[in-house]
Amino acid sequence: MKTFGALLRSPSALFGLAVGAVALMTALFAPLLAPHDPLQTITPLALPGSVAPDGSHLWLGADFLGRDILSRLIWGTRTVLLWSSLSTAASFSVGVSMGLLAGYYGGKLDTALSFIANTLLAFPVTVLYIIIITSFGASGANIVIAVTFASAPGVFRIMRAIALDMRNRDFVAAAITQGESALAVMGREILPNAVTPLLADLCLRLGYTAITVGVLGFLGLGLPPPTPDWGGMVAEGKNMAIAFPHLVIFPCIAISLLMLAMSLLSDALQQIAKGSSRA
Amino acid sequence: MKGEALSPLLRVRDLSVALPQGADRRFAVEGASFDLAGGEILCVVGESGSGKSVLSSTIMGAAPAGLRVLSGSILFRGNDIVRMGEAKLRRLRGNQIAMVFQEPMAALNPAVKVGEQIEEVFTLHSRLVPRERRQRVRALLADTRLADPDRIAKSYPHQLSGGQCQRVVIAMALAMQPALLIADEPTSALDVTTQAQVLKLMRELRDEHGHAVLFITHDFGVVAEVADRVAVMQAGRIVEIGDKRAVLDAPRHPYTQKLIAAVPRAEPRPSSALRPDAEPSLEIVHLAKTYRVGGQKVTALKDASFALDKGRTLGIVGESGSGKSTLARVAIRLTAADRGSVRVAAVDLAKLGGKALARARRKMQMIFQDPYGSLNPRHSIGSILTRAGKLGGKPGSAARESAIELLHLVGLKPEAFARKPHEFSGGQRQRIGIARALAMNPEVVFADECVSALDVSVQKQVLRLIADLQARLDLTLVFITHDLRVAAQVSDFIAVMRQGEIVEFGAAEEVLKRPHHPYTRELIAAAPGRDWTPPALETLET
Repeated sequence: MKTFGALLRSPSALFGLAVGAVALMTALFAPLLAPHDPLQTITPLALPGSVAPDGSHLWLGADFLGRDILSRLIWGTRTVLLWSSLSTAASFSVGVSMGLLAGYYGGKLDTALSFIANTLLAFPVTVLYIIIITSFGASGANIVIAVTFASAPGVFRIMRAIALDMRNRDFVAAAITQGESALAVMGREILPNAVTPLLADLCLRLGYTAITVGVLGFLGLGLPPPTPDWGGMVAEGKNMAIAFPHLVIFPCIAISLLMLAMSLLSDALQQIAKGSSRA
Repeated sequence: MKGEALSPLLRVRDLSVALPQGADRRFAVEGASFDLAGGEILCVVGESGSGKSVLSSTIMGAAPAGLRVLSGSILFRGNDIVRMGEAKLRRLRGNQIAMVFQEPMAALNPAVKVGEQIEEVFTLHSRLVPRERRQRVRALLADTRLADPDRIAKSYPHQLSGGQCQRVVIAMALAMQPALLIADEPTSALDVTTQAQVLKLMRELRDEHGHAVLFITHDFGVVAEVADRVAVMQAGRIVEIGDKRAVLDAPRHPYTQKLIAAVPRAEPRPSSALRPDAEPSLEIVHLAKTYRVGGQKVTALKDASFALDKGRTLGIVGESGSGKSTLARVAIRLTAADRGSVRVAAVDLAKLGGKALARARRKMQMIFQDPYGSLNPRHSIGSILTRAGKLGGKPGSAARESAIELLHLVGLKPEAFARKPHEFSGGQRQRIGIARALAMNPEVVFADECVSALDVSVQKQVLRLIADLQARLDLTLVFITHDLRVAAQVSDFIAVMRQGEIVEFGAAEEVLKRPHHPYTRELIAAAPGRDWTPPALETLET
């Protein structure tokens, strides 16, 4: 909770938290906030601010099928937040548990797990996505699997490094002499000391995963249309972007804003982690 | 020396150095005044945070960042260092005033041969040609009694031992024949036998070269060994200054009296009568451990065997790398042994596994060296102690109660329960470490250098607490230390270790007064200040 208090004192973290909160609220209350049905055809390629036949405004214009861009962005927040947080959660579950085991036990287990992680890290991420999703098909679950493969090794490395450092600390030795089980040593003694650096990585990774979900959508590997999805919107609009820039600008702003917010938050968390390790 | 008696080499008057706002006191150094004559060794002694290091770096003209000289003067040969410009200071440093640091390895550049590092001093401060420079380097290394100076000059720091590195640093400091040498804890990072040699060297070099030495230390044994005069610092003030004999044997200031009373006596404690019915509570039989470092075998522990009766204390002494910590970690099974067995209250630990091992190893607990590293910074003291109680088999509420009792037992207030480790001082943390070990109701407690990170007065309190608890709970204690004085004070038996081997084992009095092994004799001879017996200061023994 001390970390949270420190976050509130940092302007950039406050900005990150605010954008995150707004995004979360938008996703939760999308049906109430969206002025139109995101799938309803109104006026194809309407410009921002134009008026629909029924007299309502299309504040951000409409896409080539005449769907309200603002409503699609609002609904798209759900897609992005849902799948990026699920994917990040999956990456962290795998990365943290494997990292703890590798760092704590060391030896052959560590060699094997580190080898797998490094092999995956050496792979170009986008190629990895394409291979996984083209072989298993485009669906939410497969996005989660693909992102986990690409992201978990990074989390693994952070957790392993901290566990390697911590397992030689005297408080770990003390816990062992008290008959604490290996699982309890990892969970009670080591993991709490990794929380702040992991949290910093979590925020950054959430941002990147949001981009990834967008990229996958852009490449046609994301959720099948017509699901509103920021990356998919950019992909659909890209051919007409010169004539109708509003088709791509607004989804791009949405993606960038979320990414920026998460980076700033992550940055602030890292500063806090550094500060507390010095104290 | 030559007619300088009238005005001393260094005259510090009313020197105050301010700490940044928000520190626990206003001044790092407050109103310090003293003189240092040419060729004199003045020891500045005090506990951590007393301001002795700030004093020495201010005299070098380099007060630590954030600190400001508020008032006073430092006259070096009549010139005030406080008011001197940076260019003039640079000419002074390394030339007329030189410094020797605590960590010799850290003071040397790891990427440059030590000969070249000494040569650099001449490049900076003299007009000698390369050939002359190399000759001087050789002479300096020979001066510091380094065997084979040519080979040393061509070595990198990591190829030398700690003692050799410190000699190189001293040679570097003496390169320009400074009038003043400032040494900040120059031997605290060294082993006791190396320390004895370096201290002797520093006195001899002073006799030969006639420079004055400002020697910062926390160790009264070292003071007794090297000082001509002594200044005692407490919370930034010099509370007592005078001749070594006067200060050490008849201290006047209450703080000095308290510090000296806290210095452990080298006298072994009288052996209490052996109980004929006692059975060994800890038996170690042929314990051995070999590490493999980069394909090379390193024998950390060679066939150690001993038995210790219930309620007795074994002091294990030895220098760094002698295997004393390995012995404890192998005995307690933090590291697996290659061979041998450990029996606690007649139960052989090597034969156990899983749950039975977890239960049995609670009978052996450890108090660790570093009070900062042995408590998880993320847990409150209450949660650490309650958890220990639960693991010891107590239900939740009983574990909580016993945690509060334990706090009381080790002399901490119940308010400590909700606090995190960083809110406590080193001595308090060590008390918490002791409480955690006791929460398991152990039979045997290993204490690994558990007072060496503490100031002498705190050390005394912790040692007394351990002795108290031992008597009350009939604990068997294995006390690992590099400090013979501490070992003498706590031990019934002493084991001397060297290169993984127990070279001597016996009753404390026997080992300390009539040592058999040459290495034991060497260790005893090397203990700093062994010719000085701290005076008995009855009034303060409470």
